[in-house]
Amino acid sequence: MRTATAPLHLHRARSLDDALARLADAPDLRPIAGCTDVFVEANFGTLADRRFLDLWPLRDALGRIELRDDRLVIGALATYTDVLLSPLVRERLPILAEAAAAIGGVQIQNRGTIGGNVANASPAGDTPPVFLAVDAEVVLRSAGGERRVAYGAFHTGYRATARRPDELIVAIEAPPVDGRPFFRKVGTRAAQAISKVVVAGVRGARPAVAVGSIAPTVVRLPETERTLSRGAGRDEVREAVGREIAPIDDVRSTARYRRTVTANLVDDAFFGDR
Amino acid sequence: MRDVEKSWPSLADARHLGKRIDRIDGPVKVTGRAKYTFDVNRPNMLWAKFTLCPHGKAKVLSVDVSEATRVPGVVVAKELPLPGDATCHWHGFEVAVVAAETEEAAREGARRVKVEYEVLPHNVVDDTTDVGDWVDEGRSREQGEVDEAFASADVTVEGEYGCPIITHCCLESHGSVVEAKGDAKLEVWPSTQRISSIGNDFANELGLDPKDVHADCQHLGGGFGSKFGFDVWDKACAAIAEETGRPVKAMLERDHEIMVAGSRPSAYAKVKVAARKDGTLTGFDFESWGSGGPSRSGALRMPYVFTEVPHRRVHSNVRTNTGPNRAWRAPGHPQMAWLTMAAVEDAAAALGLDPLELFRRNLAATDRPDVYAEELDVAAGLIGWKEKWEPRSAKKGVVRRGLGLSIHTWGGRGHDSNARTTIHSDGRVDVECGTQDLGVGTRTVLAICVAETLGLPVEAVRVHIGDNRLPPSGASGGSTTVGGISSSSRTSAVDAVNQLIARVAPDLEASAEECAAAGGRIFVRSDPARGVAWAEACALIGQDPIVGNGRTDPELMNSGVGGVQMSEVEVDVETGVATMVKHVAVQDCGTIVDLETAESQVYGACIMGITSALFEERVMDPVTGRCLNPDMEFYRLAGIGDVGELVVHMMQTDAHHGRGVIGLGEPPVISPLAAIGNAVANACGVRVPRAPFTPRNVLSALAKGAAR
Amino acid sequence: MNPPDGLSRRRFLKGVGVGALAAGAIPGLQDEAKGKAPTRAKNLLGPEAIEFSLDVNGKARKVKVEPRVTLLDALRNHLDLTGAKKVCDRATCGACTVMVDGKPVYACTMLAVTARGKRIETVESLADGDELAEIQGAFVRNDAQQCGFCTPGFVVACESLLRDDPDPTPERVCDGLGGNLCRCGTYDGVKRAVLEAAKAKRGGGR
Repeated sequence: MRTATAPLHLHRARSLDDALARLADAPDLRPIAGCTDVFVEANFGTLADRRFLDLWPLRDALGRIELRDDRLVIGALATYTDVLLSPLVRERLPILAEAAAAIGGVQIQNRGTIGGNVANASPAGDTPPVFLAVDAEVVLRSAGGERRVAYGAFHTGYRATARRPDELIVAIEAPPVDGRPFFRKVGTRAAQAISKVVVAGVRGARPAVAVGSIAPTVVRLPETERTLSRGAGRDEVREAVGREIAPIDDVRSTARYRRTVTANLVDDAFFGDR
Repeated sequence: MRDVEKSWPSLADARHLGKRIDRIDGPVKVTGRAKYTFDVNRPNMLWAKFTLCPHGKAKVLSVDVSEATRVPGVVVAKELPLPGDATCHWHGFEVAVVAAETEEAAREGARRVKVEYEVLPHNVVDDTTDVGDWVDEGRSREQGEVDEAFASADVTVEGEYGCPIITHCCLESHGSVVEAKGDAKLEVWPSTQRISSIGNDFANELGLDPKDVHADCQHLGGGFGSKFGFDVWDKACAAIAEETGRPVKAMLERDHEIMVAGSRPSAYAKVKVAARKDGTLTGFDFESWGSGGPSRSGALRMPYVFTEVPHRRVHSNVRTNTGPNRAWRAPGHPQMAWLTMAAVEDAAAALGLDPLELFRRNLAATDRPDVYAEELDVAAGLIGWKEKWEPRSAKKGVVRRGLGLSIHTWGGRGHDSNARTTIHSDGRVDVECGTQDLGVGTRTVLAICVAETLGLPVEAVRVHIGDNRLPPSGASGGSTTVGGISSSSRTSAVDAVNQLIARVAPDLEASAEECAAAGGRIFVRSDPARGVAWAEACALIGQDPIVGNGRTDPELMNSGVGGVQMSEVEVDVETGVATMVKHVAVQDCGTIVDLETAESQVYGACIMGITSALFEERVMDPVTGRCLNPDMEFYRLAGIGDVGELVVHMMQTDAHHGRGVIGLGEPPVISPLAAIGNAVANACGVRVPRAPFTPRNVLSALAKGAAR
Repeated sequence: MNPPDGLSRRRFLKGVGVGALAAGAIPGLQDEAKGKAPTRAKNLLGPEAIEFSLDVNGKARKVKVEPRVTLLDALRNHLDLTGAKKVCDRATCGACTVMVDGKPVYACTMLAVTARGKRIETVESLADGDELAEIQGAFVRNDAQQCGFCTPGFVVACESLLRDDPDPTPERVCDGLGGNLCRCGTYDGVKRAVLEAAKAKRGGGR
């Protein structure tokens, strides 16, 4: 395991305040929780960090899923398993459960956290398209206080986010969904694949389409959404998708494949009879 | 007539042979008690890790281990000898080794070795022959009147097909644990497919007497043909053990394993098929190429199975800077089957014929028409071919199903093997054989053969394998093991039990020839009531146990099998995702020793073949020459939900049983790629010419098909 | 296949000069992380080894490891519990599956120090002496193992699946075991074993 190529320091958070104080003091501390992403990064030998802040002890405080003022609040340390088992998620945002079910095996679901998936900011992450499609907000806290960032403004570049080093994601909040949400993922293995193309969206008066794995960040497709909202036919919508996406060409797939599949998934979601 | 005959009992008479017997080492495997090389922890042991070349091809200008030696815990850090030209010929080429007190420190040390390289031109592209000097053109071979066949054909069908390099990806990576014991005695625990002879390589390396090297491999986490070698890591491990006087463990990291420890050559071909309207194949023309890394890929002897059809073939070798090929379960056969069966299926489609009919019509061009005819019928019944098959043109809708088939052949004659059966005075029985278990169930095979011969329950026999001090037995490759060890253990047990009978017979007032051993007794054949229980008989043995020696006997084994596989897939033509619905395998292998583990071999081979058809490819970056997916996330293996319904049917009739034991490891892994590829073509309505049948390759073929 | 000329590297470590060095013998030995001198070192663990206790299979087991050591390496290399295997080493294949507080996790991607205070169950805990657990017996009867290297991980994953769902459908079995991979191709036996063990556990016989 390449993880262990360098010695590391580990601080175990005693409380949220303790964690925030540590971060204020030493912003080079890298927050970790389930370790399902950080270890993979380390395995590639690309992990520069040496000092880690273990947030797992804060699960009781930050792992809750609840309803607040009609908004679904997912604690950052809620695991995929928590999401899968949550009646609230099933009722309010079932596509988040679908996304969680599509992630890895049960061993990953038990350790991987929603906050980690969002913070890690992989363009191939499974839950970001869901949050982006439903106009969620990221709740960030530092020793200085709390702020909210619209999901669309959170992912600022490849594996880059609006989170300051002294901040922690404490929750993701999703407003009620106006319309019928959908989630589609094409990976090549049934149970365990980094998604090749992930599309999440909402069918309704204000159509939304968010796509993962096709750009340096998860992206909305505004032109496609406008085309959909004015009631255009499927060919026009497919063309809009084709114009709008500039896929990443990497080992997981190739650009042309991603463009085709994305168009097919959008087509299927809005016009298909499946 | 001998007292106990050497020949195998008939299917009706056999007590264990051919029955379903649970794997006798199942309990140690399911409890985690089975110790593999990777699990051997010795007191005061060092860990060895390697520094690898990050380039496709590069000359090493300098190696500086000084920083590595300063890592706490590092005990040895040294550069490895390079070839004469000081050049690394692939990504993952070993440049230095570091041994340390802990695994973590060894890894850190290996990373701290500084190497200066001069990057050289490389080639990692093998799916085309348009790669300049990297191609060696082969010689054309011809059988029959090929030009005439094409000139007089009713139809000529052309196609291009291929499959990329895939790797072995044994779950236990390669490596050894080595301990120098003073007085030049060496203990080694290699993960090897040839325990009887690997000790000699360690001895030779360190200048020891082979008798002073004890090699032990009780369990092996997969081999598939990639663990015959005595490799750089084994040599480094031995050298450091000798130098430090401490035990050393050198097991490859996963990326290292995928990059260098085994690959199966790629194979591509432009194929022309000549046929008559009725489906009779009259000619083949193959222009093939492939890569086995820096070495030769091995010629593809096509057409596969339909060998009597007039044909021409020429094979070119593409040299690539990738880890060298190693034998991969049924070397060359899955590729040849795919390139041939795809062309045959395309010919059927062009003629508007059901491919099953076309296969049936051409069996005379194969070496065992009767076997294939019977197996085609069985397989067709099991998959519901008659009810389900539709021509490509009938496929409509987004999610489409398709059927495909393939046939295959293999030799599988047993290798040379020695075995010893010992009967003790307290009734205990030991069988010893210097073989190994790659997962086949060799312990169970030995126990069955000896128990059958002695007339005892299987659990009465204790089995000893995986040790070079046991009677030597061949390397496990090419489906040679079960044939060899069943034969040697049978003859050793016959020898032992006849000695026992000779001692008991006088007490039974009979000649040895009149006696038999069965049902836990030794008795007079003509009067079974006249006999003694096993324990009683053994009590006559006295202090020196009875030792029976045996060696492979050609009369107990055979070679040559045929198999048929049929596959049903579902393809989503919008996403390009192909999924397995059902896969049927019908296989013969002569005398089946253990039906349960034999079936497991076939299930496993089908799954391995499904994996190669749907997921596997080693992806190389043409610019840097690096392997892009040296991990199990992107080098994908099929999961439990990916394989669909599997149906295995073993041909176990008196006629098959009477042939003698034939190996089974390779044959069933040959057809899946071809059968699935044909099913995908049938579902899509167009040929997907390149494996694996990933969404990308499927959509690309559909787009080309639509453009036509 | 033979490698090209010059690639055969026999007896290659001979005469390469002595590379053996005792690390401690080098003056001024400094690790790069040590050089950074973290400001709040007193509140941080590591990088040097720390001694702590792990609750493994119902027993308190002392280990002394650096914080960078994974739970898998602590079990295998320090406690000689080698049932859990190291295969992919990056949370893909499931050969390292153990249960932590009753839930299956990949031990290769969990640091040993973070497992303090948690209940760790490895494959070694399932059998009672020679008496196999129901799922283990079902594995043997259905030949759900070949080389056996993935088997301990599968057994633990199956056991936790059955604790979670005593009557799983075949689809649930595939979902629940999607995080485990096998190279020999034992999936069919595994499916049969889980369903058989579930039936037996519910008292339905085999």
